[in-house]
Amino acid sequence: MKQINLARWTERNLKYLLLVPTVVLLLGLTVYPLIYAVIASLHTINIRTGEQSFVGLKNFIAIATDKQFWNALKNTAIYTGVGVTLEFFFGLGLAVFLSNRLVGRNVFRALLLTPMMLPPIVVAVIFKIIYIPDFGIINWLLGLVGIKGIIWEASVKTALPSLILVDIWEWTPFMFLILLAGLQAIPLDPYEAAMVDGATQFQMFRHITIPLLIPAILIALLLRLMDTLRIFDQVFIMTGGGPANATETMSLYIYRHGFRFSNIGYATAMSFIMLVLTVMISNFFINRLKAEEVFTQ
Amino acid sequence: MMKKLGKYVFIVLVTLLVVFPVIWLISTSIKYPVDIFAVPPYFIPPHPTSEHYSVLFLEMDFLEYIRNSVIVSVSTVLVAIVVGTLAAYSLARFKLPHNLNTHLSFWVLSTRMFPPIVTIIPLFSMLRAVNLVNTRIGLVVAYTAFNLPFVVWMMRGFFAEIPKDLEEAAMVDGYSRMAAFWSIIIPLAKPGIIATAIFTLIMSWNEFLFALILSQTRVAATLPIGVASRVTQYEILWGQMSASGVIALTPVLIFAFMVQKHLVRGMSMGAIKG
Amino acid sequence: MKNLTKILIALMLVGLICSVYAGGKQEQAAEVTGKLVLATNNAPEGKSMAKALDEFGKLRGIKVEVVEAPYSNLFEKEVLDLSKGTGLYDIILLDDPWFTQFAENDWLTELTPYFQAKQESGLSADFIDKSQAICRYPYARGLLYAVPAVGNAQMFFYRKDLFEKYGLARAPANWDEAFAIMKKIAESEDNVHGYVLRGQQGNPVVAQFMPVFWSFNGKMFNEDKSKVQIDTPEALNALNFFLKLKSISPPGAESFNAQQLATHMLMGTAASTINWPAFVPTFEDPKQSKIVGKIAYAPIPSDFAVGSSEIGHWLAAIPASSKNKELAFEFVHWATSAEKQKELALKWGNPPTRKSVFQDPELLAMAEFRHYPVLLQAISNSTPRPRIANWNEVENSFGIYLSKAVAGTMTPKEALAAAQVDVEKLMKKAGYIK
Repeated sequence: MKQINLARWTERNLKYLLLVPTVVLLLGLTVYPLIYAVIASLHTINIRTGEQSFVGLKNFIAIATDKQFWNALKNTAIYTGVGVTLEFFFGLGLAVFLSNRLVGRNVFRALLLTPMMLPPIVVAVIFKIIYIPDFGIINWLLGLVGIKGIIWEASVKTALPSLILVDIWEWTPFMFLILLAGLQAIPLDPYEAAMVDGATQFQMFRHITIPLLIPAILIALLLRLMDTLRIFDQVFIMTGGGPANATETMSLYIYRHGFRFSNIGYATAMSFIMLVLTVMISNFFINRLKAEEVFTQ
Repeated sequence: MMKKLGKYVFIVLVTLLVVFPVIWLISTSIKYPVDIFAVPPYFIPPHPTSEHYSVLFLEMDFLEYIRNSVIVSVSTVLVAIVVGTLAAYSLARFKLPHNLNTHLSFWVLSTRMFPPIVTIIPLFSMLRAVNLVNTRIGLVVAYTAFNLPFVVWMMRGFFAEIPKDLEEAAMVDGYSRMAAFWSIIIPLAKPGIIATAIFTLIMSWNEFLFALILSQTRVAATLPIGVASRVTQYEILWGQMSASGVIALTPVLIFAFMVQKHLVRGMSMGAIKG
Repeated sequence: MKNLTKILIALMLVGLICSVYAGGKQEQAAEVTGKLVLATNNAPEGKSMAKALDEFGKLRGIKVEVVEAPYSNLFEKEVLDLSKGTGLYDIILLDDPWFTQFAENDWLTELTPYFQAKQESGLSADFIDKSQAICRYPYARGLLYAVPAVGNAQMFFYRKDLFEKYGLARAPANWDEAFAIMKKIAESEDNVHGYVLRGQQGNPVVAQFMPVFWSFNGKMFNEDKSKVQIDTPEALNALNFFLKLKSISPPGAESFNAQQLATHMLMGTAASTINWPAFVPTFEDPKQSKIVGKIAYAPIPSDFAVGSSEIGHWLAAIPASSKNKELAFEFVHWATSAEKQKELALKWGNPPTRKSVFQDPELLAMAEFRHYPVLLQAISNSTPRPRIANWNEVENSFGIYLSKAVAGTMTPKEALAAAQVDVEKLMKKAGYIK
């Protein structure tokens, strides 16, 4: 009797039971850290004694006038904006190209996906070797065609672009993969109908492919944005934020205060701001996605 | 004909550009230090050496890093897939009150926005409270939590694709809900599960920041930590660094080649269709 | 409501499972007592201690483990463990500028009682005075919290053959003399730069600038740290000269760390640099070096102060949270004995901290140790980085402005003025300036 009850109860509440583990884990990962962050951001720790004292919003006020914070924010914005945009266009181009019939298509696809599978730290190491101005392979190759003396991640002017280039190399494949999958999921009928109407290739791309690809585009951009905004590994290994702060990103600046200077309060206050910014940016995409979802349902 | 040839030239060039850094890494890993920075560079080393690899395996106990990485990433994949798939099924199939389906889905996705830098210190305290700092289990818990949003989001898409009638018919035949889920839905969603698993695997195999803070000793440290340990302050360990990089990427590459087909097919079924 | 209770029950179950598991873990941890864990830098200096620990383990029949981390990560790993009292490490190697913070926060074990238990009054007088001083908090006078393990101090590395070729058969006595030769080399030799500058933002550029700063008679702070002396004529002269050094350095010096310095020296594309002794063995290894036997070592050229070499010892300390202090001390004591230091120098090129090892006739007779008299002199005349708890933050801030000056986005004058303001702020925050 009892057993039947339990079974029935389980069946009735199945929809909640299935959600429990996920919700618990994610709550653990977000709620406690969030509370911790709120409290820590209102405190400051004395580096000489380890004592904590309440300082109210002082950390936030200090951040507002911290030039290095704004510099880090600017660099992160440029890195994300330029990087993700270029990754998107390159990824889209490749995806369209490789959705065509081509002998050996699968081999090319697999090879093109390699960069995103590498540990970011290995990627940083590879480019560190490649970029060395005097002995690096890339300057040698460029020297063959008469371009000389680029100092890549070492000069103020080229440091950030050099890092963005690495990001593009590593993550265009991700864009490519999601967009390719999106392209493959588009049914053939609309194209057939359009062909009958005599539409050109470009018209079909513009009016059929792109609109149907929107969900894939949104998801790809959203995931990349969230990841790029917190870029850390490559910058940490390749430049450490230099030269002259030209590649200091938000994550790096927060890390520096949190781990190297033991300014946990200041670091969490900054992470808080970063979180709010990320949520705002992501919300734009999420709202579009929600709209799409309503539309498709 | 010309046009077709042009296409091949183009794609071969792009592929070379993409693959070249990896090839350079492999080539560096078998060069003696004097040859690494030779000008003009050697594409194929004149005197290849396995010295760097033997140092890593014999002196650096790289097998232990590999063992930890395998255990951590495989467990993460198993746990995250099971937990996330269940939640995704609920979100995709049941009508939850207050439009929770949509809200929960987006809440799950939004947890990915937390900069790791925010979560890492509290996470360390939490894991320490339950004595899981510097254990593989601690890493699995952290990685599972991190990969869940992606798993849930992907799998939700897959389940939405599968017609509801299938399990309803099965339930009329006397299957329980879970039995129907297990024997009807799961097989249909297999390509999606595989694609998701691959992603989760890559993410946990490559993760660096959390491993750096949460694993202290060889009991738990993973391969990226081993690679980073070759980035030293003074000594020039380019060779060992490259060799460790090659060790870290080889399994992923082999695996990716094996499952490349599923990756595209799986992805095209899933997340992106929302 | 009903659902809520159920969720709560589920949550409690999860908690229960976790705590049971954690309990199991604790037992496991208790089993492995007698194991020593060492946290160390993964550079050569760290390696010799790691090798010593392996040997100690075999000798005593105990389990040992070495945690090697890159320089930049070692600090945070240690701080995390020490500040949370996790007790994962029994012995840590720490870079001497970190020492003040660790000691002020009571994270380290005071060592004198352990020496006394061995019928010794404390550190042997055989250790160089300057090496002892940095192991005490407050500096030189206070209690002993560490033992000097790796005797690093910067030296001037130069290509004897090239300096001779352009007219200087001895070590340069001051910067003017040195610079004239370096410039001639850069102008006349194909593909050889006069100097190679370590200009990467942060610790590297500061570590490179400090000896120059001191050699122009500058000091970052006054005696009691109540005044910042960065925006001064001495500092300006030093920074102007630093930029002159940069002008004869290879391209990319803005981001060079010690690795790139060594690479340029090894490939024979730079004629001089200021660097740590850790590189000395590498230069003499034909598998890595094109300049075997061509390098000489000298104190930092200077017109003014004798103490312009920067000391950068690695210290062995025992965390207050270590569960194995006696055994850990046994190891530290054993590994820093004169006999062991000599052996570590012979086997792994570890620079010693004891005078007797520096003056050991057997070592001095060997080519690899020909720099020992210079190094001993450098350490004995060295200056430590300022003994302040917030050195990391001060160094970072100063490093940003040095990097800007090196990269040319600020004039030296502007950079120093800005650094003065920022460092003053930091010193106020930490309570050094009232």
